[in-house]
Amino acid sequence: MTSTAKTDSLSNRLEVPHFIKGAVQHGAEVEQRSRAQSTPVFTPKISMDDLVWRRHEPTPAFNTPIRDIIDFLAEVGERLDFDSNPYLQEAVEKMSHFSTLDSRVLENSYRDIRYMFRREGVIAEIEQTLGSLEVLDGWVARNPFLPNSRVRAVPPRMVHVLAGNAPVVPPITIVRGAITKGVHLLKLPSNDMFTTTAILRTMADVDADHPTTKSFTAAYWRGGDEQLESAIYRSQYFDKIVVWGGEAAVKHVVKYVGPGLEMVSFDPKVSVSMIGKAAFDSPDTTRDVAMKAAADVIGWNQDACSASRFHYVEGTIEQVDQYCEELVKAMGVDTRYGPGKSSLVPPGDIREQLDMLQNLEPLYRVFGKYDGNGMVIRSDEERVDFSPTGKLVNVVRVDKLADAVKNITVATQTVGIYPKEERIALRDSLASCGAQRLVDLGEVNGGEGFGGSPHDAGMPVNRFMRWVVESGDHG
Amino acid sequence: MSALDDIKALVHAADPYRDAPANLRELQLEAVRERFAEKRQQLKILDRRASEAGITEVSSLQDVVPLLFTHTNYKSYPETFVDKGQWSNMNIWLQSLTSKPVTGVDMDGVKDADDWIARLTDAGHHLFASSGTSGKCSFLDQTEQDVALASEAYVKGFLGQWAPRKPNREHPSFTFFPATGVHRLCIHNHHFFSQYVAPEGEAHFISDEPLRATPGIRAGQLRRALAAGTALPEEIAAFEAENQRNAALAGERFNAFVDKIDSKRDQPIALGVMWPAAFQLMEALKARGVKDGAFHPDSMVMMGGGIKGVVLPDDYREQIHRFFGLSPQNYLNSYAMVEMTGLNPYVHHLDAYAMPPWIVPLILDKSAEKLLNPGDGQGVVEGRMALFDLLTDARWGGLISGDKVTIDFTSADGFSGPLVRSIARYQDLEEGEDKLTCAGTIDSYVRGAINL
Repeated sequence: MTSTAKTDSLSNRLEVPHFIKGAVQHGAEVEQRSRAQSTPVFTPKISMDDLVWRRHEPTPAFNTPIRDIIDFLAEVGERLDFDSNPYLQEAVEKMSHFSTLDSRVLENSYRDIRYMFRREGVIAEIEQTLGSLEVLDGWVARNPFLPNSRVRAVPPRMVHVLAGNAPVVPPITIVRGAITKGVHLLKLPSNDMFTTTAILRTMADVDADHPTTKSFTAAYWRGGDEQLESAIYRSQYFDKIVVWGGEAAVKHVVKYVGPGLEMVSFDPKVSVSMIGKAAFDSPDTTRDVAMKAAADVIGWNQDACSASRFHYVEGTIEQVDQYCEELVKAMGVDTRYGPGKSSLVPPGDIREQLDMLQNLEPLYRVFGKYDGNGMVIRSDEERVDFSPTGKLVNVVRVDKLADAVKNITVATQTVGIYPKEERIALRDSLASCGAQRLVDLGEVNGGEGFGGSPHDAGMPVNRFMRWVVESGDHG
Repeated sequence: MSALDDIKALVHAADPYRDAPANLRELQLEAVRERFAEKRQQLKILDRRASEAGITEVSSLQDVVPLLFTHTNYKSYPETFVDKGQWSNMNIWLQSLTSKPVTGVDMDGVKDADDWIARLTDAGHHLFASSGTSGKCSFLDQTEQDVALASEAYVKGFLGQWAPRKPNREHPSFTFFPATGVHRLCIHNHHFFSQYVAPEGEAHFISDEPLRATPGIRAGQLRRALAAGTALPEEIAAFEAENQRNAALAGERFNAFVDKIDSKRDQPIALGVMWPAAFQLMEALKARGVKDGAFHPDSMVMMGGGIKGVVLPDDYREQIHRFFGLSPQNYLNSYAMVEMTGLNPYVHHLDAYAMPPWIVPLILDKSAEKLLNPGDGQGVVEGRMALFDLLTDARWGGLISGDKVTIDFTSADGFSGPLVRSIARYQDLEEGEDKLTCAGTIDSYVRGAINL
């Protein structure tokens, strides 16, 4: 290697800051070699004592009134305005080195972060999941059956193993974490080492001494690092470990779960769309439906659990093939969270199957090319036996939309449905089969926003809290 | 005579590994060119690939790279064809991968994959099957002539003419492989051990039951039914009970085989075995009180294959070598993959595996896009193993493997080779990833109830 090359590689290297209990930590003592990325990544050396909080000291925000926390989050939200926030801008720039998301999508996602901190949303999240704000601040008698008992939602001590495929994971985790008043260790994923610390540094700029700021630590280590994880994943330090997807991550954590240490898993999921025959009322309708459907596919490179991979479409082969053509066109157009033109193509092993299935017309038909604009493999009644990815959809023709319900399982997250009459008609059976979120087609990534809705068929903040009961007379 | 005929004729040479002509590389390129011109007319899939890559003729080996198939191609059929018994659709699928017309096949009453294979065999398509860890079977076609050439190719490879010790119909043989069945090696192993290694009536195989494709397929089907939520606990329990019965039967067979081997340990015998079975054999004999080095010193071991994900101690090779206690020269090892015709036998005095002249080595970068073969045909290259098998007529011969190899292109001691110096699997070398995404499939939700 020449000395010039060496200088280049040094100036190109990326330093990932950590955030320790309210203070940003810079340093480049450890080179992270875990991933195939062209730019070397350096982190500070971790002291394991920094990652845990002592149990016999109350969590920093234990006695902070929840209304103070809500005010603080709202102020942090204002400072998370992308155009004036240097940390978010820097994060977009640095993410380009190893996130597969394009910078327009990333920037749009970052522009949404502030909305997760809105006062109304935060209050809804608390009231819908915990019942009231007061139960976070003290002991509340609210059970008419046992009038002498009081409950308090007591702050937990938590680890969050974050996913890096969609930048909504860090802000949601931070807002929910702040609400709990607990302490939170955020394990950064190798495909997003910057979003979390950008938000936490903004928080520290607003008030470095705020108890909520001091309740967060964020660091990168190689997932599954036994020496580190077995040292800190103990009930003596933490109550719960939240895992965002990823079978490997779940397996790493399961090893450490035991009495006193619980896992909350946001399981890896697959999402689908269901389209009724009303989509063929007119050519314009078909085109419009395909546009909505495409937005649900290409969001975040079709790499999220909410991204639709299978479309069950009610109609004749000719109608459904027409829909497929419209869908390919629609996937080539930019949406807020999805790239129209891209370099996304199905991976090699799927490509071989697609090449094969094209020979089986009319049973199967392939639409689109390997040009990054999107592709469709149309089948009849039965879905293909691989999981479509890389801007690829399996459109499954069905006689009746209800026939497709058999494909809904415990692994199904979102079902986007057209028209709304079908959503209403099918909602019970879809929910019963395992689906968790039923939305109008095209609304998978937008719509109602964050705050107070179930997630993964549960109310996460309710599960995060330690629910403690006190009973007896106060008289 | 075409270049292809010249290459095919090499199978009949006394020692194809060393009798190749000096212009082998040019001959190979010419033969690949001939194969491409011919197969492009016969295989739609190849034709489409070639059109997409803009390749109209093969002027150098680099042109072949975008046209290589992976093993996935040979199991690319929709599983629903098998699940629903749509065997005629399977014929349509097969047609897209085979250069011979899939016609005149009697499909009446075909019940399962084994029936389907048998009917195709009757119609001149000598399919072999191979089950992957996914439970989905691959099916690869061969013509009658492909099988005949392969038979000779395997014998030439097994025999290792230059080996210090050669089998000579004197060793009772014990092969840990069924004598017949859908796996490609069944017929060739049987031929080799019964005709070249063992005296009349002394070639023993672990099972005389034909190896069938259906049990593996059934396990995959049940796994899918479980994932879809349609399989009920009693059905799964019944399947597992049947599996346990089969495992018990296999265990009995194995023990009987071990007893037979134990009884002949004091005389020169030959073992045909892969590493995991060799390890099992060692453990079973040790449990019977057999100590290290208790085999007759003139015994031979024909060893091959990797360990295919079986968990063995790090020093399993050393343990096995110590246990048999045989001189390294008594081992006839080889490196091969089921999709290629013949094998790469281990050459003791060169400490490498020699490639036969009908296999054109194509060493690629990890992503399988760039050919790394040295321009001057000399020197050592490391990369992904890919090859063109010139003996296969029923299929396209271009194949990419998952193996990471070090290949020495410099010829040595008459071996035009090249020589394979080391082999590993990319899958075993990959570092664990912590790139988390929340996207998943139902596969994560199926607890390992059904072993494939």
